[in-house]
Amino acid sequence: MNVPTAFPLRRGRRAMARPRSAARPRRRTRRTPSLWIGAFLVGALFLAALLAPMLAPTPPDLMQPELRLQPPSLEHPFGTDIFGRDMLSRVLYGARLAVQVSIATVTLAAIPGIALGLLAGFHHGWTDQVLARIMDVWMAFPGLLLAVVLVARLGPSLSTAILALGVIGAPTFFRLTRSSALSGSTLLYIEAARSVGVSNRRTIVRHLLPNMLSPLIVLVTLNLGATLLAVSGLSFIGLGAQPPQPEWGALLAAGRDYMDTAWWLALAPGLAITLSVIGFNLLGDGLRDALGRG
Amino acid sequence: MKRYTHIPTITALIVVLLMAILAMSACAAPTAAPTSGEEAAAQPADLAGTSVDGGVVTRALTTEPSGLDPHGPPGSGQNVILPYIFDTLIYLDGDNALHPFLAESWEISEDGRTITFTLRPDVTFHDGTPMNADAVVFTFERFMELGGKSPVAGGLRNITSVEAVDENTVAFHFEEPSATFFSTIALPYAGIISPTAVEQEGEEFARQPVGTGPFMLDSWEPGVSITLKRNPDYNWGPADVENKGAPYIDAAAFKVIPDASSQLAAFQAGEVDIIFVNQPAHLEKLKQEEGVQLQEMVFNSLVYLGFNTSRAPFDDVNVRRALAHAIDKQALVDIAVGGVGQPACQFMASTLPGYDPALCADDITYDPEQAKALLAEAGFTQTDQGQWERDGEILQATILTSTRPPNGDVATMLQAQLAAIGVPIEIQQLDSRAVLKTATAGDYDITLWRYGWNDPDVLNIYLGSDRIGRTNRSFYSNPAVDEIFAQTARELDPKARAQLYVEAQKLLMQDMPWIPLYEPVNIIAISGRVQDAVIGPMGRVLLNDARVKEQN
Repeated sequence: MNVPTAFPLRRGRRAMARPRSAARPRRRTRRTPSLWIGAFLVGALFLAALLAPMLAPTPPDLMQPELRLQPPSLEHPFGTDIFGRDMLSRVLYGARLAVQVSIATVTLAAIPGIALGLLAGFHHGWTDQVLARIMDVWMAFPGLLLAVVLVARLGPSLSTAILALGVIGAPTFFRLTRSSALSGSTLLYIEAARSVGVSNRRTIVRHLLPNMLSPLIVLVTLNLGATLLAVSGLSFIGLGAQPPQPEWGALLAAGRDYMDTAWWLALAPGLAITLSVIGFNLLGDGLRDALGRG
Repeated sequence: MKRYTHIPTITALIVVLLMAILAMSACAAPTAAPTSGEEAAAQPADLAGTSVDGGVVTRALTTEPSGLDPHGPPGSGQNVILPYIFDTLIYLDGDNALHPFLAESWEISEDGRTITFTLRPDVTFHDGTPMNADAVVFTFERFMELGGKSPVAGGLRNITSVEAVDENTVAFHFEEPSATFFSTIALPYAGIISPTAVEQEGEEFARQPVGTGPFMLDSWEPGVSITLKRNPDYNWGPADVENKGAPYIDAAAFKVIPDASSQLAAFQAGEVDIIFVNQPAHLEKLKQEEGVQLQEMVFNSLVYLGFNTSRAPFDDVNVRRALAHAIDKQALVDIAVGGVGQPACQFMASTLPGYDPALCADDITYDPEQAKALLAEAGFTQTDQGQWERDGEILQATILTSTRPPNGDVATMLQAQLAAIGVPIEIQQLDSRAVLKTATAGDYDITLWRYGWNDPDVLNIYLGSDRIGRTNRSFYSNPAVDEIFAQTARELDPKARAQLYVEAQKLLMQDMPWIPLYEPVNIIAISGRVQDAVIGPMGRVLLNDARVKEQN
């Protein structure tokens, strides 16, 4: 975290909020191909999700029994499954699910995590102590296992998977925000804002939060990838998506039994998961390099 | 800066991996070479490739039993292992014929209220205790006491007392004749247990079972495997096997592998010798492999769609019949089941008494138009979106089923077929135990489930109104059907009893508490190195005759 050296009051509010100059990130990106590869993969994922209805040759649930278990061809680039459903369409609609679910989960984790983190880091004292200890206990639970227990309790579906993963994801955001807020709130420009009578809420939202955006962006990006993988994992073991949802993990699980006879069933969703997760990770790493250490 | 640190990490990882591979091959090489050399030297050349006594046969186990007390909670794992450790009084073969087992003979009194068994005099338990009339009385008194937890309590319900007449004679006294008695005492759960072992071990008996079977418990590694060793004193093999004496093989092992794909992989790698195959893809794969013995098993099973008849709108027979018209069973079997089954046209499995081909003429045929007509008759109107609405309620349902293949595929196919007439379906897949719990509580619309039972009494168990809240998860109640079920329980003449079940089925097929879908074909795959394993009733694989072919 860069420390603003100039006396904050003499700089404009914009400069206070974004103390880093714009030139440095741009220079860094040129040296980080991972950022561009990641951006490309993630861009492709979002594009597939957005344009699935246009790109997919058939509706994802259309069964054409006469076309069952067709290997990849021009007509069905990813082949067809045991019901004669086009795998390309299913994987494309799966991208839609993956994006929706990942964003929903990360939002669910980030909003309370960031809010509580800011609160704890800004106020110090017992608020911080209580919240931090609760979050520590929370984090001590093995994440995915806790999600499995929650889903088993609430019944398997994508929404319970989102809820469970959101709940276990919150402490990560809490810890980052809290530490940033702890160090940030002692800085001069915050003190200055306080001294001229800016309200606590405004100080947090307008001055503290914007200054920790870059590490947060990195964390969100990395978390999107991790969440995508976790949701696929839950669906793979039958605790996430329910048929006929074309969730990638569920597609992979269905294709696993046909590895020898119909390899394409597992290949397409497997590749989709791998490339998306790699994409998010490269993008996250690249952003970290470009935006400076968080 | 950050990315440069990746390179050493990855390099380190690769180095560690390589070292691990080297270490493994280094370990394997010196140990493997000398042993095979010694064996080759010790064995005469002409014995190579032929079967020899000894060896271990390993079977994959999907569900590890919670315990091996026959009177404890039942389960598929128990069903597999109990018959190796425990023998029963009589043996019921795959054609539903009775054979002597621990009982040499039996007599039924004129009024059908007393059945007297003469026991074999030469049988001892694994712990040396003689198997006599007292042991049988002890077993059944305990069975009836703990029977609440067992699925077969019904078959023993009419027993008033079990009496040891003399050392080798046992008399069962009944309040009224009990038709299900024989099929019940042939179940693995009615295996005769050692009274001394139960007294010594108490609760621990479930972990250290003692019976009279061809194998006895050797070791149990929880979550990994259960190993049984041969009972050298065995001399009372059942009707289906040639070798009545001790098994030829040294041990039978059961490896816990919950996942079907992993089971197949273990089978192909030679880690297990026997697996149950329930997926068309796996069957296709095994058919291409040389030396694998694929055998069909009789489980008397039927896959059906059971309605919760206590919940609207499935309390309406027209709705149930309408949905039945929407289902194309042939397509279901061909596509979702991969052809490994036959469409079912009645409630009774075709291998059970009470099945009548003539009933198939009354079965509800695939006719989507008729389905829509029936829904209209039931007071539903079709909305603009094609859905069906009555009193402001949309006709929709959740199909509850287990995660076991091919249930997911079957449910998906049913979902598509019902969607075609405008009935939206959701699918909820839970593990088997959770499905049973949810269904017993009545917290579901429709369940996709399967029965497998050794007696036509299965219809009474699942559809008799006295079983509501327990095994009658359809909450189905029809006094006329109950009356027939009551008669079947007393009818000792097999032919007359079968005819009663035909009558009961006629009523059931009008009411349609279930839609019978298909009869699965159950295949067991046995490795080429195991010879003469005998397929018994209800999925048993008898290893009394089995020999292991050692391959060099």
